Amino acid sequence: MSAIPPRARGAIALDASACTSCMICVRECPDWCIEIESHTIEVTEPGARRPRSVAVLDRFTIDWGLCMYCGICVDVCPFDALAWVPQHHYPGVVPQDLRHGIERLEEFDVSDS
Amino acid sequence: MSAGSPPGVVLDPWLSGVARLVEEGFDQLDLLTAVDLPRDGVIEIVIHLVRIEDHAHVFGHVRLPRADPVLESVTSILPAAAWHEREIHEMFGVEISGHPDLRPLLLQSTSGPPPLRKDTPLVARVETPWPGAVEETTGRRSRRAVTPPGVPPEWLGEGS
Repeated sequence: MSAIPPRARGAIALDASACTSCMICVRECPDWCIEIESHTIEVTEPGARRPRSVAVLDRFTIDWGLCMYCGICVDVCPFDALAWVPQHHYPGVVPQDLRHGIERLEEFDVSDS
Repeated sequence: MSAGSPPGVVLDPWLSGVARLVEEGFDQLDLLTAVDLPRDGVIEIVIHLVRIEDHAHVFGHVRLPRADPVLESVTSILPAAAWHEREIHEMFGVEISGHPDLRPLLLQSTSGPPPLRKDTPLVARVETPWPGAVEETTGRRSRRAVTPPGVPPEWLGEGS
């Protein structure tokens, strides 16, 4: 058995803390397989004159049943919130199992790549 | 914008052009397909032929008017072209003259517009709400006219 090359396009991992819900990946995806839901909150930082609007990511879903692994979302993300990882074994029994939310997308181990 | 000329030779007239290549030893049919180029008003037929002995290969093409495309069948010299021509017929609405059997190959019904013409609406693109229409600031579905790239506005109904 040969090892999977570290740069293999196995899955796309999400770093939710880096995601700003900017929607660029959603809009660039040719397959429409990414969905984002977010809301904004007002944050007043110490010393700041006015509160700042910050987007909070509520839901981030990739549907692996639709994804064609082109990697455009990884390329366009301005905040490096998406990254290729070599993990490829994430089967589902029903098509819905192939829709991965934030929890499962964050489980993919970026340090492995 | 006009598409640049593809590599290879123009085969016009088609049948005698293909016959000439086959006589030159390019007798292995690798590919026969079509490209819809609505901006140029043409359907481009592309053939790729291989010569086994020296691994040489050649592309040939011809442009047909999009409004009334008729292609001469090459099944008399390349019998394997029969399925490819049936596919071009049903997918691009190209009439194939001299084909022995133009039954639909993959489609159940050929009554609708040819599926691989670029102006044929893609049902999934019409019915699926575009996930990109969600407003990044509010998280709500936008009321602004946000249209998905590559989808003509006239395809988009109320669902998007």
